[in-house]
Amino acid sequence: MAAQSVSVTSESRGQARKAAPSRQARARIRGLWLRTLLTVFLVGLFVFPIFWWFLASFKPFGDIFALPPVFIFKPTFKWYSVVLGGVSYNQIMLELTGALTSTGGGLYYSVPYIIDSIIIASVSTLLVVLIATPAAYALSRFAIRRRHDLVFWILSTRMMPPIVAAMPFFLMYRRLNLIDTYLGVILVHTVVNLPLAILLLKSFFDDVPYDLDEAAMVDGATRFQAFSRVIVHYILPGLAATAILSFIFSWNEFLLTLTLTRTAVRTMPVAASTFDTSTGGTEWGFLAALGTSAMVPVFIFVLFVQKHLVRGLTMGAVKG
Amino acid sequence: MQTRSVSPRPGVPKPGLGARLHALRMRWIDNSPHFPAMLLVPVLLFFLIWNIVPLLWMVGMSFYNYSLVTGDPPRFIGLANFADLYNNLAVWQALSTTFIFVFFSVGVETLLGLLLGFLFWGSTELPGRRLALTLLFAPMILTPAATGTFFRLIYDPTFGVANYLTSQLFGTKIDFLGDKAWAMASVLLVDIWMWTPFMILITLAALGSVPKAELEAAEVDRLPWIKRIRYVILPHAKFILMLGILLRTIDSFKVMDLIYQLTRGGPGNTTEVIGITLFRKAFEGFTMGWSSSLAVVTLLIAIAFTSIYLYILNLRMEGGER
Repeated sequence: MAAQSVSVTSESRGQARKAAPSRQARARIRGLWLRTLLTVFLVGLFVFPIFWWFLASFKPFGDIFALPPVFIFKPTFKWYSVVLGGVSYNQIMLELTGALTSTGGGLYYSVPYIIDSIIIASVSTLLVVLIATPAAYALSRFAIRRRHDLVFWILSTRMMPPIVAAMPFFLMYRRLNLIDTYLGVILVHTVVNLPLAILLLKSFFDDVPYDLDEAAMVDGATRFQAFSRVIVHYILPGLAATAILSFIFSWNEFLLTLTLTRTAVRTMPVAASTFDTSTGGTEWGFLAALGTSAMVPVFIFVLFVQKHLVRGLTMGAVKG
Repeated sequence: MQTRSVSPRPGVPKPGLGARLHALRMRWIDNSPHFPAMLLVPVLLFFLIWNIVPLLWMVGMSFYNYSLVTGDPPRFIGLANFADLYNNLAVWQALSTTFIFVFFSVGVETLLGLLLGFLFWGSTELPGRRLALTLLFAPMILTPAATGTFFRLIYDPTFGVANYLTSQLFGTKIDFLGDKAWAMASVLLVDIWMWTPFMILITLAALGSVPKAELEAAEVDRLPWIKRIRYVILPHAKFILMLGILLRTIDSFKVMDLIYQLTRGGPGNTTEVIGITLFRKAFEGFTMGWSSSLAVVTLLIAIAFTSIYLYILNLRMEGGER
């Protein structure tokens, strides 16, 4: 598209003497360029902070705080060597500042947190998909009594503030001895993501015409087989998108995990929140590396589901 | 669509006892009037245990005086917790902070979203439009807890880029998160940064729901833009727009992790929204009874917002889904 418009411009310039392009066409092209610039500027505005953190995680010690900010520097992997590689915090700080700081070492090593996050997000996603798919199919296909109310109830559970949910969960978990366990966090993430998954999958099922169910059954499939062997195939892309979104939301979930865990289970968002930055600027490199490690998986996943993201974020209500 | 999966007679069992039993079971499932209900049972069970029970527990707890610090068993005190809420200035303060936050974040995000949405809408021929939209997703989907941490780096009073900018432009440094006059605005700015893209995408979806033919007719008629928006675009786009705005309102009301990361409710109580108050009372003060009553009130407000959302969703369903 861009090439086209450029060629139109140059062409029109070449032919300027013969037949000047209409005033309208010129105005349109100018408008297009103006719009492009404006768009680039605006997208840049939204993306810049992310880019900035990303850079900070590779910056050598002094450059993170250099003002005016530096954009050209020799990238260092020191921060990552502590955060992901398990190199001792004290060793790096000694190298960088020539002095031992009071903060204890080893805290920033975040591979255990990443593993916890992956375990919790994948198991809860699996549970969500297994439970939500049949339910979404039922809600999409059958005239269940009070279906409307059921859908609304499911939707309204998503609207509950997480801090409100956290309190009774905490009390319940104390009784059930589920505090600080994988099972506990997984189950909570499952219940948080279920409404989204059900409604999203229902909207994908709604897109598949009912004729296909009937065709499968005419061909000898039972009702359940029509669902499990035929219709599910048609929504596989939607199913994948739902699973990925559910994974992302579980990965990002902060408050419930914070309140229901102590030390045995620690996910990335909770880990990122525990560091005290009031002591000064020395820790920012680690934090930038830690935060970037938490965000990169999410960003990669988003690339896969961007087509369905509006639908996902509005729980199937808006098909972007 | 692939037709491969609609193979003739899929999964027809071969004769044999196990297979015959399987066929029998399948037929039983098929003929059962409860087949749809069976598909729903796991979800209903899950919601019963992990949604209804905790909620009832919370409502029950709100009538008790129960603190985890003292270790005393819960003591029934009727509506005393709610009476205390009503007389508690800090609660009213937190509520008003929350509503200010909701009002400004949703308001600015909607305005900006509409504006930028229109900008993107007229630009289907724009180079790299798809890439631009993908990048716009980033702020809202990236781990909010990490986002909060990063913005502390940007807002840092001595080392932050934001202060570098203000000192260059206005010659003064501002302690964005530590200054009572600036903290709320700084937190709002981060929220706006995160969620304006959402409103852009909602605007685009809403505009996409306007039939092309009607837009072309308006173009042919040379309808002025104001009228075009009023009579052509809005009647189609309003549902999605309203759903988007309400969804944002509900989510904004739920805000907690971002503010917790940025200011923990401070300085003083300038950014203490109701979520932070609840967190403090329940998980730092461990006054479970009192916190439960505040949670019930918070939930009622959330339910009020949600009912409006459901009402509009209902209207849209009745009006035929687009």
